[in-house]
Amino acid sequence: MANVARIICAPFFALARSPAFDGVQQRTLRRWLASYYVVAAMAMPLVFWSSRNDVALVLLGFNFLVAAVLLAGSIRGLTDLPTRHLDEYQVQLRNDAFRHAYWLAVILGLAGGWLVGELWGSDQDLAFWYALGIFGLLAGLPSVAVAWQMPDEDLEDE
Amino acid sequence: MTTEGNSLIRSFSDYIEGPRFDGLRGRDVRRRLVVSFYLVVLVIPPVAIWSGSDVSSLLLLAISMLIGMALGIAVRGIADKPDGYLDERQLQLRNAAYFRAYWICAVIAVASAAGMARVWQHDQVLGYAVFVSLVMLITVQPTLMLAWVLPDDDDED
Repeated sequence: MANVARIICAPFFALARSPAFDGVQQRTLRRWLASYYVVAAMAMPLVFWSSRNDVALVLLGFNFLVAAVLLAGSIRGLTDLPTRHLDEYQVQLRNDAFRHAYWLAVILGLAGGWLVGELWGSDQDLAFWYALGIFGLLAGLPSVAVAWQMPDEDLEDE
Repeated sequence: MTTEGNSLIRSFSDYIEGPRFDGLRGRDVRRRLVVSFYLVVLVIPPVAIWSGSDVSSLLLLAISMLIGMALGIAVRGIADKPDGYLDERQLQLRNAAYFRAYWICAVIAVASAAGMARVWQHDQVLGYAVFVSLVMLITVQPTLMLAWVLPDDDDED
């Protein structure tokens, strides 16, 4: 089981450590990427609600994936890698981010869940897209918190 | 925070860390409290359906609050104290507890709120009961995590 997980996760580990993301290790850029991620996650249900255009939704889904990969790369996959792949400082940073994100995630989860439940009776497609957007937001909140707090990589090395 | 507020937290902190609560701090006792808490909280909605009144839910809510308080005391309030009242090890333990609790709470919040919104129109008693269980589970979750994983005080020393 552990080997299967290792094989599945290998490309992600490589991606997180890839030099391709060296250019996005500044705090300002990370914060922009974090904002981009939040907007990308919220755009999917909002566009479906306003236009129900399938092509736009496919493009927005792709856009969300790009935002997720960029955000994960900018924090070197800190919130997704297993603990054994992180040093003590990174574990501290990750756990602190989860604590900061916790109450916001609870409020968003409750409000979003309520909205999904209300919509389910009248419009299941819209409820599905809202649920997807909410889970996207909840999945990314700790990464957003890390991206917001993490210092520039050069400063970190010092 | 005001000086009065600080001294209030400090004296409360000293009170719950006192030796009078040492009986609650053993790992076995803590784990029994965690299991009891889950049982009581999860039983609130079925009991509300069965009895059809808010009274039973309120009674069970009171019991779950008492167990929650006992758990908070058992882990010396680590999950809820501000940073300034914790040492470095306690800070690490607290943040790790929030890390472990994050996904459990996020999923519980979305699923229960969605369920509650569906139920509310047909059965308000059940809606309240689900809401009460949900709030208890979410607010106490980091403390539950801590209570489960913390070693005995002797092991810590």
